[in-house]
Amino acid sequence: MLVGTVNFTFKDAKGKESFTRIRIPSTFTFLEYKGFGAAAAQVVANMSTAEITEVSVSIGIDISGLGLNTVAAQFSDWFNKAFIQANNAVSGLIAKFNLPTYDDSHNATGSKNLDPTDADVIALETLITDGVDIGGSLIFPVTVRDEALSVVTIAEETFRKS
Amino acid sequence: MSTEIIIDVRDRRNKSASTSVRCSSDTEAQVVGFAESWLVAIGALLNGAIRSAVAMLTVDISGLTGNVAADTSDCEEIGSFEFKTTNGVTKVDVNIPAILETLVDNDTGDIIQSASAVAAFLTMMETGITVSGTLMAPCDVGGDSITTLNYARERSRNSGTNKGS
Repeated sequence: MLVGTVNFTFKDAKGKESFTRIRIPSTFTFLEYKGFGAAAAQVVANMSTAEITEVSVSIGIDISGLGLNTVAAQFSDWFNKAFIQANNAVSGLIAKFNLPTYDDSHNATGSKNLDPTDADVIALETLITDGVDIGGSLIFPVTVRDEALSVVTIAEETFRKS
Repeated sequence: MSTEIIIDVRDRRNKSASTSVRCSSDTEAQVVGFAESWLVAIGALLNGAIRSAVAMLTVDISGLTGNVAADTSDCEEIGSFEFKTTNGVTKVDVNIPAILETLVDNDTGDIIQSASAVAAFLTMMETGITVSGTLMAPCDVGGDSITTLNYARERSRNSGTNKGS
């Protein structure tokens, strides 16, 4: 059974941070989880002399029906990544994506760049810039300021930690 | 408000790495639908195994009252609570950093359970709280409900390892 986790971040007078969490069954809506998080934060705040600086709720997503790899390929390596950077053309703010265990067969021949003619690369880049229709609403990746991404500026293979 | 989706990927040696994407919605069906599209798209470019995906919801806490760090607050002073669960085996630990000193019995170090702030917390943990007409009660990692308090006492711990259950 997947459960939701409410995460609380505290900061004391010296700037030290500490964390605690409370688990909740997975039978509620996102809105209800947020409501619980806010209400529980007040209950916890009433017991603490520190400041609660952040509350989040993590909910597991069922991925069992997506047909994803369940067994890593022989030569898969978490250091081998696709690095993709996209930006919002107006603000210039960027979003970066590191995709671990990248399969370099999607590289352009003789290049570290992802092949722009590869169907799987095109599909991902289109999702990044155009989003996807979910129930009649366009849902898309955003920057930390919730801005849409209009253009992919870098798409290359790298070798590094996340 | 956007929602971050965090994805865990493992390679052949079971080494783990994560990747994330922030999507434009915080509505459940839209977030899950986007996450599925994103997972399929990146999955086609990876030769590792995608092990899990988690939606990370941000909670608005701007309405909290009294949420200011006191001059003497110290995260190493913890209110340590342990609860029993319905399966009779699993324990649920919750640590409250910088526990208010007036909630602690100076003679025993026990948390004063009759104090109103503590009583409200115990009720929330054992019975739950009602959110928009729905009763929501905490549980253990396996989803079993919390039944009763095992103990509640103050203790000190290094903040570097000071994490809840």
